[in-house]
Amino acid sequence: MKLACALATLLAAAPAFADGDGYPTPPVTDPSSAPSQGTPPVETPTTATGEHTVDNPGFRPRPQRKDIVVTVVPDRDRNNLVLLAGITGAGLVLSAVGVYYNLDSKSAADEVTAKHPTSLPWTADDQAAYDRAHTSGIEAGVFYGLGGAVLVGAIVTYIVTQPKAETTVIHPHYAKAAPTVAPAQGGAVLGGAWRF
Amino acid sequence: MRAAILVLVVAACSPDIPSGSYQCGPDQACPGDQLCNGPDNTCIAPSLVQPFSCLAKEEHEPDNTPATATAFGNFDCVSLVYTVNGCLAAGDMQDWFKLTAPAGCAALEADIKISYPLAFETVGVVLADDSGAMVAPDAACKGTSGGAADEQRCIQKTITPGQSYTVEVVPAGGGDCDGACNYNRYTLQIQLTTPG
Repeated sequence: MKLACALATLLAAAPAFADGDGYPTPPVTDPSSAPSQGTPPVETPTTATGEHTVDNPGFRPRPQRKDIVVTVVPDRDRNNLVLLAGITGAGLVLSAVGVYYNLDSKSAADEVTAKHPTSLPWTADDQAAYDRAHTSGIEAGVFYGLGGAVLVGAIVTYIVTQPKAETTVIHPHYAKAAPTVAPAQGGAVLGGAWRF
Repeated sequence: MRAAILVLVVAACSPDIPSGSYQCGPDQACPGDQLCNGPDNTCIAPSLVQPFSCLAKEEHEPDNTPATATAFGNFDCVSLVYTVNGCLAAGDMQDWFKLTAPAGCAALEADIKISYPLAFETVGVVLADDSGAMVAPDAACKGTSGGAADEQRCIQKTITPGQSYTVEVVPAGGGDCDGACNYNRYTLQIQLTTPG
């Protein structure tokens, strides 16, 4: 992951080395126009003097001497993942228990809910269902509350235990090539030296 | 959409019981904060509740002795069903009725049934001779009839043609809300038939 982040950052900075000689080229001022830096060059016909001009000769990539900043967020370790999974699972289980009691409460409530006069007496079984609807409703509320609190705790834990991002700053030094020629037996050796 | 359905299923777990949906159960049992209405033993909102009272047409006082029993009409060997609505107010320990079995019948059976609301004190019935000595106690009825909010007790007893009998209605002592609802109204039915 660190490598991927570093590569991405380096690729983004790649135009800084596009000059060929390794050195950024200073912008050339065109007296006839004030081109913007972002406008691509447009070739124009050859002039009477035979010079080949470029409509936007000032277009050069801006030298990018910015530092390369690589930010890496480490993966969570196994213990952290287990902790988060445990808390989340507990929250879901508590919420599921709340759903169970809620459905039980609703079932009991439906047993005695009357849309119209029933002509039936209120029996001990009806009272038991009525009480069950009430108590299960309370239990559902309690477990919903617990489950919700634990899930919120899981979210808080997720945020709090987020691994700290590691930032690395790379100060680039542009390569400066110095060709070397050295005589050798039967010819010469052409070489180069670079400084970073 | 599914989430909305789930919310609807999970929610609403309190019984919805409009006033008047149920008849009072034993000991004036009613759902939630509803109370038993005295005049019609229906569970209604507390603000609408009226106390129990015996109606004038239900009272046959004085009828607390065999000598002052309320007389049924004349019976045939196979009679129609005679129905009397009565009421045992709080502290009224007995209501007496009397009948005379028609003479000239080969055999007679008295079918007596008493129905009363479950809401208040249970009621019993006894078949007795003209002096009040018990001939037959009540028992559970063989077939179920009447409203679900009513209780029935029955007597089926072969009686002697030409002889006078009395029927005593008494509080049976159960379901009286620990004395707070030691009253009830009842419907007494008597029919003479041929045994078999």
